[in-house]
Amino acid sequence: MYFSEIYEQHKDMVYNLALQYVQNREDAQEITQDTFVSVYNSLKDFNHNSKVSTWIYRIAINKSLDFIKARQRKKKSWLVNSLFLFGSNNESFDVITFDHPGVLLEQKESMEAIFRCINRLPENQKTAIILSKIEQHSLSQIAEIMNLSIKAVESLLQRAKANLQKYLDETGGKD
Amino acid sequence: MRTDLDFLKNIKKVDAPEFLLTRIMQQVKEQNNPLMTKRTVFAYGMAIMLVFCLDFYVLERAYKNNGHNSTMLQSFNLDQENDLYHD
Repeated sequence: MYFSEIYEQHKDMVYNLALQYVQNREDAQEITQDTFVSVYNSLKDFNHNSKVSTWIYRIAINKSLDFIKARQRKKKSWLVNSLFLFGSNNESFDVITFDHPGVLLEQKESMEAIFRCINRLPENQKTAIILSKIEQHSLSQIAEIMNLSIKAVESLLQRAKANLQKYLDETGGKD
Repeated sequence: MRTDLDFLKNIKKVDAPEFLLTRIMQQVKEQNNPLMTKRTVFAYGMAIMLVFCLDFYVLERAYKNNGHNSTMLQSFNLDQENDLYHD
């Protein structure tokens, strides 16, 4: 299978998934780029045990989570620097702005509040919610992508929903 | 403000930017032809080490020769200082 063919078939899927994780155009582009570079490099090692789309989904999820972790590490190191280096340039840290092209302007405020709560969830709960509520996948599809049983996905979604409800109640739907 | 999860269904799917493929292929190309290969880095490292070793060798030799010169000057009863005028 040719790379260009795979890219054309899956580029929008990967870009949209990355957008749900980072809610920012530029970051999503970076994740998409990293995902397809990984796909290109490991295409020859791909064993057809799973579907190509499932395989790419897994890579995209891992790349998105890695990107978020790297951003959090950067944020932590910035905090340490700002504590010990008085007068340092505080504006050097990039504040991540909500820039999701799939969200309508009139819904932006509400979506931003919900995403702020989703971003507080543990990694696997966040993935389950994104795949279920935004990407609209079935339980069996989510189970295949996450390499879990359907029961495990169900309980993951239940916990995610409970946590989300708690976070939303805490914030009261406000910033 | 809506805060229920079904509200997330309103998120629209968007198209990936066209320029991404060019960027991906550029990154793949750079990976395959890196600016500095391991061999180049090793060669540069060895060259720098060689220059340092030569420096040490030359300095050490100069120091040793300096001792030899002073013995020779003393044996000829010559002054080691270069003072021509004693004001």
